[in-house]
Amino acid sequence: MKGPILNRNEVLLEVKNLRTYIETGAGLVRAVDDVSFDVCRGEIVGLVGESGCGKTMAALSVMRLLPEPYGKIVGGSVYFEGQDLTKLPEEEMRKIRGNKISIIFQDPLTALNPIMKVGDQIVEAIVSHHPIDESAAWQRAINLLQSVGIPDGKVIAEQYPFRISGGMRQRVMIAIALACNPTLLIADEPTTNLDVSIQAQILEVISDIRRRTGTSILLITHNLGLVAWLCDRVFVMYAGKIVEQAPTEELFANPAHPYTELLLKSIPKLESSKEKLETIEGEVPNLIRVPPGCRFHPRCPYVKEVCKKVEPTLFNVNVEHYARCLKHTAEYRLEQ
Amino acid sequence: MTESVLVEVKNLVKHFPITKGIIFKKNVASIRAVDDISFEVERGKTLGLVGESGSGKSTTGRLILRLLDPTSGTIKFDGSDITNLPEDGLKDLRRRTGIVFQDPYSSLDPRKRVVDIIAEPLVIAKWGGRRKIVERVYELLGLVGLRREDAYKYPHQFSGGQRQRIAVARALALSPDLIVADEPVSALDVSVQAKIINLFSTIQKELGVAYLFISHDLSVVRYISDKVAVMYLGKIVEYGPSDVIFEEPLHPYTKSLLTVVPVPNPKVMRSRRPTLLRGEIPSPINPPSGCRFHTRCPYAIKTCSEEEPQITQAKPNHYVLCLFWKEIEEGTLTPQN
Repeated sequence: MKGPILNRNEVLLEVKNLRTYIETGAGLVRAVDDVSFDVCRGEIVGLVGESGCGKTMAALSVMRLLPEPYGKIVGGSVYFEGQDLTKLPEEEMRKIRGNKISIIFQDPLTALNPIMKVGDQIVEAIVSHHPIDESAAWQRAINLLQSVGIPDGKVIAEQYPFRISGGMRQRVMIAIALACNPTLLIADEPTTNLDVSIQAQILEVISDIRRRTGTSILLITHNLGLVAWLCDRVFVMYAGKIVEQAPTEELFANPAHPYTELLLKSIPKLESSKEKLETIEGEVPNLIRVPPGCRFHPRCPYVKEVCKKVEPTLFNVNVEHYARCLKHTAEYRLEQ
Repeated sequence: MTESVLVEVKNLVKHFPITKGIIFKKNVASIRAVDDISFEVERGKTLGLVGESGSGKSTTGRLILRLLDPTSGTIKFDGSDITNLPEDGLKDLRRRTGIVFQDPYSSLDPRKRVVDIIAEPLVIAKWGGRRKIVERVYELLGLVGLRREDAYKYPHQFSGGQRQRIAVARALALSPDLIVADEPVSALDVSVQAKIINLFSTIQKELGVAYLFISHDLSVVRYISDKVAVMYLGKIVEYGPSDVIFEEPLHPYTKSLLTVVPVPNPKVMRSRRPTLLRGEIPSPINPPSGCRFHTRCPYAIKTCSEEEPQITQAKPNHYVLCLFWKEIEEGTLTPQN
């Protein structure tokens, strides 16, 4: 399922040192804390992590869909096609949102309007950016439905969201997202609520979009299986930081951060034996009060004194492979 | 029935009526949630029940605990027929079985302390005096990896994984012979999921409790189960030892699922040739004629829509519900286009 060889020079989205904080009653949550990642043209990039690691907040920051005034981008930049989205006035941002960048959410039942026919919802997405007449837009909606694997698009376009199945709703969401031929599609846990056989169909639709149109895709997920299936490159997030980044095969073959390593060992294998599953000690830290030094140190089996004091940066461990772990420093190796 | 069998289910059926009208209720149709299934759960072993939504796996779990009344068929628990026992005859069954649900946020009473939650089954069963019960709660907390002090906290003070531990402790309170675990790790993060799976394994090794482990996650089911039953639209389509089912699947449904389950290994994923199933899961109100899987089966031919398959022993201990498993195995029947 690999796509064409990528041209690294053609960076479409570049997120640089992004900080997104959320004001809560309990304190300031540093949901996204100095995060950088990029997506090239025609590439599928995975942003992976467990609940509360900040992956969805990172995506919402790109779209500028944060729950304001509580959630705010407090630093960094989001370059899209060379333009810094964080500096754009809301009016300009609206022209990009749903047009050049669109997003698919996890739960299509809450994301779709319950009292609007699905066809009309697709038409709405089209005409809000490209003023074409109603019947042409309706025809385009039906074509879009067909392109995401709904052969009887004419019938489904007339339905309300509650009348159709979960898999079908997700296809409708994708059709809406594709309405204006986006250059970047953000898919936030697009198949988490779906059954395995339906999930496979949706993933097929997503990889088909990239093949057909060359749309770049940012896939946000907790499922490392999906990453292995679809992504060209992966960014692993933990407690608001990117802890590792690498091309997919490299990441799975040589995980360089203890978190990635343990995460991979904690998943039951479909294809092999029943060794005891590895676990990660303790719990994900509270993002209001993060541990000093390396954020993973309280749970890390390789922890040394230095890890408790020094905050690691991303170290280059291989070609295009970076890990935020002090194991890769002389200081760590020399200790004891 | 051999000594080692704890639960024996034969031709179990559960139909939920769909009624029309408010005062004069009329049955207009029925949801055929579980339709003629047979299986066994062995003492101290795990039977994995795997299937997609609407396949009837949760209904099956509830039926064998008699939380639902079966429409027909028999359920034997430890040799005695419990199919039609009246409510007051079920006390013994309730003492000897436990259940763990998917969502630890809704399955624990938010207004009760952990000690009261875990003690509840003990109190109902008049297990002992207050002192003895509290001691038992401490013991259970230790067993599931929680601390004594945790007994006096409320559920909201715990994370999802810890709550699931509390639910397991409650299910274990009366040292049951069987625990039905209905998607117990589906709501948890990967790293937490591993801990709870390990907890289930350790407890089984230590206490010899049998599990009916219900999940949609094939990797988890393979990992934890000795035997596996694959369900589709109220039927068991394939049944046998876990390793056999996953390594040499015979039913086209199982075969297909195994080619589309994402596994965290890019090499495996890229060498795969996924067999996508067409369409959606049909409604159990009006299941397809003949073989229920024929509408999505890549191998389906005309006969499949006319003739209903019977569960057949294809290989020792390996059962399959397919008219043409042999032809598919031999390669004389290939996917249709």
